[in-house]
Amino acid sequence: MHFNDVGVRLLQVIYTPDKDQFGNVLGWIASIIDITERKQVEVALRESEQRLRWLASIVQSSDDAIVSKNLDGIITSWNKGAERVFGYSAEEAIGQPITIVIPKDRLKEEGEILNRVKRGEHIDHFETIRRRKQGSLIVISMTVSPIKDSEGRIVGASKIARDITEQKRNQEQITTLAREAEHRSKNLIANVQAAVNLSQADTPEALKRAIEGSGRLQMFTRYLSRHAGLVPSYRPSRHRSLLRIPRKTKRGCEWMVHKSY
Amino acid sequence: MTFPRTLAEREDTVVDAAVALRNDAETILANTPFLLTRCSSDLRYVFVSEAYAKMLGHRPEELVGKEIVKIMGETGFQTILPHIRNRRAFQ
Repeated sequence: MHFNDVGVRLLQVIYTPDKDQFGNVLGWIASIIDITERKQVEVALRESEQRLRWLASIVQSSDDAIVSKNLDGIITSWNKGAERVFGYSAEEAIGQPITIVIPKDRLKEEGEILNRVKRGEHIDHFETIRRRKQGSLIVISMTVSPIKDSEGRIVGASKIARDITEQKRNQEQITTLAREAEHRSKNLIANVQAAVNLSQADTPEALKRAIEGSGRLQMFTRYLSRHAGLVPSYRPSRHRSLLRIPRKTKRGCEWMVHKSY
Repeated sequence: MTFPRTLAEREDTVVDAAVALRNDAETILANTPFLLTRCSSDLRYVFVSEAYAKMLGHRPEELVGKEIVKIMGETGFQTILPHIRNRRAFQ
């Protein structure tokens, strides 16, 4: 209802006729309830519920495991991501201690995490090992934050965990390959250096060593090509001997020998 | 307890009681937290509760006797008009 001085108010009104002793209507009596604030609260609650549902759907559809637990370490929520990462369904996990996913040798971690959460600390990208329902171990990156109630008291913790097992394995492979490549490139440089030195040699023996170095160089080139995906298949039987010298290289070497003498 | 002896005394007693009752009723109505109005058929406020006047930022005496349309404005008045018509016809 609109009023000149205060604008719109939402009112519930019951109109009753105002009659005199003879039953003549003199006017009316209005009994009014102002529901403006109540409606505003209802609208705010509805919006808040919508926001919560929206957030819940984000949590539920996340690929990361999002889990909450109380200060006793009991699981209170478990999203679909957690089901995928740890193998337990929400029905199986909720109400259980979080230690169901912690390997025995890491149980101490949980107490430390809870103590930090109780102090209001936020733990960011903590890498650790967890155990799946089937018993296999996975590497996870975990972020833990305190959960507070409406009065600001810490009542639990939320954990967001990402399975980085595959990522870790890839990193290890890359490290191994890089180490191997470094090792081989050092060898290659040494061989090239030797070839350069020996090409200046004026004895047949010295030249033979240069030829051997050339063979290794070619083989290493093929190895790199194979690992870079440039050559689809590799037949090691053709390259059994490091002393095998490709015809072209051999001819080049013969030319070098001819030139040397 | 004394009983009035004459008719005049009895009338005085009844009138006093009625006045007291009316005062009580007015006190209660004026101070109720509910929003109450009593309006005349010429579309003016006859009585408004303290709470109603307060909602509009006025004192009750500032509203009593005023035309409803002046307080509510034409837009607000149009919203209550159908209800008022019904009540006025309710005889």
